[in-house]
Amino acid sequence: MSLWGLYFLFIKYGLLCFGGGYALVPLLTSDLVDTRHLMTASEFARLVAVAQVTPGPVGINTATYVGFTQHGVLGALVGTAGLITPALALVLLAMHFIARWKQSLLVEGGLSGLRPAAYGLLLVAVLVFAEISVFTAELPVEYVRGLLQGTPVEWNFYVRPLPLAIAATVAVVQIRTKFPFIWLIVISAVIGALYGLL
Amino acid sequence: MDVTTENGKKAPSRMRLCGILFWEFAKITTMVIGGGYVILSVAENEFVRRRQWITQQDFLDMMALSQTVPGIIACNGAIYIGSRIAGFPGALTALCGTVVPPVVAILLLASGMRMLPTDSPVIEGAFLGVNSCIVGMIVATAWRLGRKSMTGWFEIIMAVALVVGMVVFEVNPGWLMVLSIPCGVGYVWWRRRRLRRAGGTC
Repeated sequence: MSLWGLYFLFIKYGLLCFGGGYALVPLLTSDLVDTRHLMTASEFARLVAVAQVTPGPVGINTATYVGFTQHGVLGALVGTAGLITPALALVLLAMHFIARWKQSLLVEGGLSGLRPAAYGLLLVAVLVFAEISVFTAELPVEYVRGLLQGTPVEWNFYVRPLPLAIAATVAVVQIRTKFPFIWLIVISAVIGALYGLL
Repeated sequence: MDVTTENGKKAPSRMRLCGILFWEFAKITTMVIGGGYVILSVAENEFVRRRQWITQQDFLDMMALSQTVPGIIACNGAIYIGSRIAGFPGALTALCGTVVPPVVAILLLASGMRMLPTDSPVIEGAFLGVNSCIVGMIVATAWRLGRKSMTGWFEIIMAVALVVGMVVFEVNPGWLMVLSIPCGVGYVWWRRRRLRRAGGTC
């Protein structure tokens, strides 16, 4: 695939990825792996695993790696640039329209619906991160579903004390003081590492 | 809104603003593993609370927009914040700040430095610590934003409906965001009509 082809391919992904980088994963699986055969399924699974533990948005990490496998460093840059080009145009356009028609029913109404929904997504993000730290498993939705359908699943939902203590302390510190977040992350990582060592 | 000019300090030049934007977003994106929402939450702490460059209301608009417009959430947010603070150059530098560190990190990893022994208990523990810390940070952001914005029945119902839709029914968040637009339009239409009627009778 040519560099231009790579650029336009990722522009397409940038336009189609509704709901953030995680939406990119199924999209790329079907397109890159199944349709275009640019990489194998296991290669792609390894890539997603690496992208999740590497700093930065998962979508950017994925685009960089896919670009790299196609055209080396240049491909990585071109793929990433393609992914963010539509966002740059769309966000600036949307900001312009919002500022211009702030009083209109459509803009004011649309935003008053989107704001609390975005707030709900923030709450979901708390749950997503709690499920891999403070809680031992996902919320027991499956357990309740199992009970309702008469096919009970095992109860595996518990709260871990140390992560809960870290999360609560961080929340209070962030609400009460202006302590820099970087130090909170570093200190939490060190505490976690020491805990893992013991 | 422009707090930097109010307390007697000289407003920083646009060059300097862009520099700060690049550095802050580079810092945020490097320290934060796991994607969009975390980055937005940390940005709230930095730009709304510490520097007071963006109002809470504007930040909520940013969150709403960056999760509706297609694209990587963290990048959409960086473009919005950068553009608010320093116009188009600001949008570009904030975006570069978000993108450059992960690109460098992936390139280093892809070029053969396959370290990251994820099965070591120390690394696992460190990730556990970081993820717990992130929970606390998003809770703090949600607390601050919620006190200002989750004030009426409509807002609370919408937020709860989104959480239930995603957690219990596992609907794609993109669809839920799109669905929330007509709900909001209907609500504002109803509220305006009620206001007009109240105004008419008084």
